[in-house]
Amino acid sequence: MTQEWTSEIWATIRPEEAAALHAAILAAHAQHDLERLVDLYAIAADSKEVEGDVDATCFFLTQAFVFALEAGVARAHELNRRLVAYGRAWPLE
Amino acid sequence: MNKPSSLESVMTSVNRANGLPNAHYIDPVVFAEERQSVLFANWSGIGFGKDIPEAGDAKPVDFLGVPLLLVRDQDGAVHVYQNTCRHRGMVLVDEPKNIRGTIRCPYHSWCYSLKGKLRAAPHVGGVGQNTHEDVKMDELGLITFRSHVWQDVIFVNIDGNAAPFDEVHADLIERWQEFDKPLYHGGIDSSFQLEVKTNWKLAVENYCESYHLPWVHPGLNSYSRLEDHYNIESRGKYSGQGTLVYRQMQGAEGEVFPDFDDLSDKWDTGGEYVAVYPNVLLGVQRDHTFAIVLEPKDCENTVEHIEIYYAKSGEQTAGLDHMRHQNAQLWKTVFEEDIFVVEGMQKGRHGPMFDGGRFSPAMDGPTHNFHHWVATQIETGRAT
Repeated sequence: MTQEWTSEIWATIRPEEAAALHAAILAAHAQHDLERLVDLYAIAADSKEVEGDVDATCFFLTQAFVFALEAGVARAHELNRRLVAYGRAWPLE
Repeated sequence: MNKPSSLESVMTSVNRANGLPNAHYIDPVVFAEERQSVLFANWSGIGFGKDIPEAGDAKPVDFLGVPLLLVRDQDGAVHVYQNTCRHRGMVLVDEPKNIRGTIRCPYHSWCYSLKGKLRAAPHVGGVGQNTHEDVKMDELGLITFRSHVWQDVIFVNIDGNAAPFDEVHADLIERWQEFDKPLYHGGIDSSFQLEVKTNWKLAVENYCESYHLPWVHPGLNSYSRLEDHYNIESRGKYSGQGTLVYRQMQGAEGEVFPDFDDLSDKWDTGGEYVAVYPNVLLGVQRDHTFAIVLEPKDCENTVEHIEIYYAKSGEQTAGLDHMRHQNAQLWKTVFEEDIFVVEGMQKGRHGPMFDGGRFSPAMDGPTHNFHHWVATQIETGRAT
């Protein structure tokens, strides 16, 4: 599947599309594409947030946050703020 | 372990002293003792600032089995960390790289800032839970070793108990304050390593003295005669040799390397070559310097890391590339000429009747000064 995952489609993820997202995440891991990992995990987090699954949301937010930290991208702060709002992380300095 | 040999005969005057006993060159037990008392208890060289030139550059270094990580942070400061995650002890960085954001452990992704602070411990409190009341983030930063950069050499004090670098080496820093200026590495030709089958101390000892020059470096002798050299000795601190007839390299058109700014007349024809105890060898001249870090691999093997620096950058003096290449070749030849000597002395120390040797009272002062210092460090270690 060649689904191009972008942040705009987070709300449209259907169960059958989850496999494609999973594959895209694996490919990004294989390529050590940090920015892509941030985007994809954030999409996964967004979809779980829509479903109301807080634990899964925070799992994916954490993954996105870690790779954002490693990449040194500003989005780490946004992801951190969301985790902090769930009581799942300390605020970044 | 055998009873440690007495070092009294080393610590007397050079006129009557013997050198360090054979065991200090060939016995792994004594090597382990020196690792702690000499190399870890003092300011040892482990690398160069030029190896991590940009913010975020990180380079792992194995120093006598201790995994270290050299890092340049966003403010340009150099840090030396233990290259070990505070979680499960995983090595954090296994090859030189540029770190854009944080140092992420490849095992469970604990993340550390370039300044060593723990910034994330993902899922530490359970899935999606990144805090735990018993895991204090501010107590789990990277272990930091005291470090100091001088003449582009990165020095580290592993045991943390040495006096500050500026204090230990105050005299030498003052002696060479005219060379406390920006150094520009000469480029890829100006960086080379020599693997030598010798105990690291023999490389120091050979470097310290000019006695061997006419025999081992006859090419230098044509313009740098033995009587043009002088001993440099500071008991308990450093030693080496100086020359009064340093002659600048000249190109075919009479071109020379630019001098360091504002040097006094002494350096018009002067050059000094000093061992910064324990394992760093430095040389300064009016137009270039060099630094050698001796990496002890084990009791009988050493890697010499050699780097040459200039007063102006390669960009500022692009027309001198051929001379930088030639100069590097010249120094490489000189250092290679020393290999048979340090390897031969190493072999000689397997002769069981060798008693450490007798020194030339006139010529071997700098070498004995180093022996005296090493013996002092060992005795201090044994007393504590």
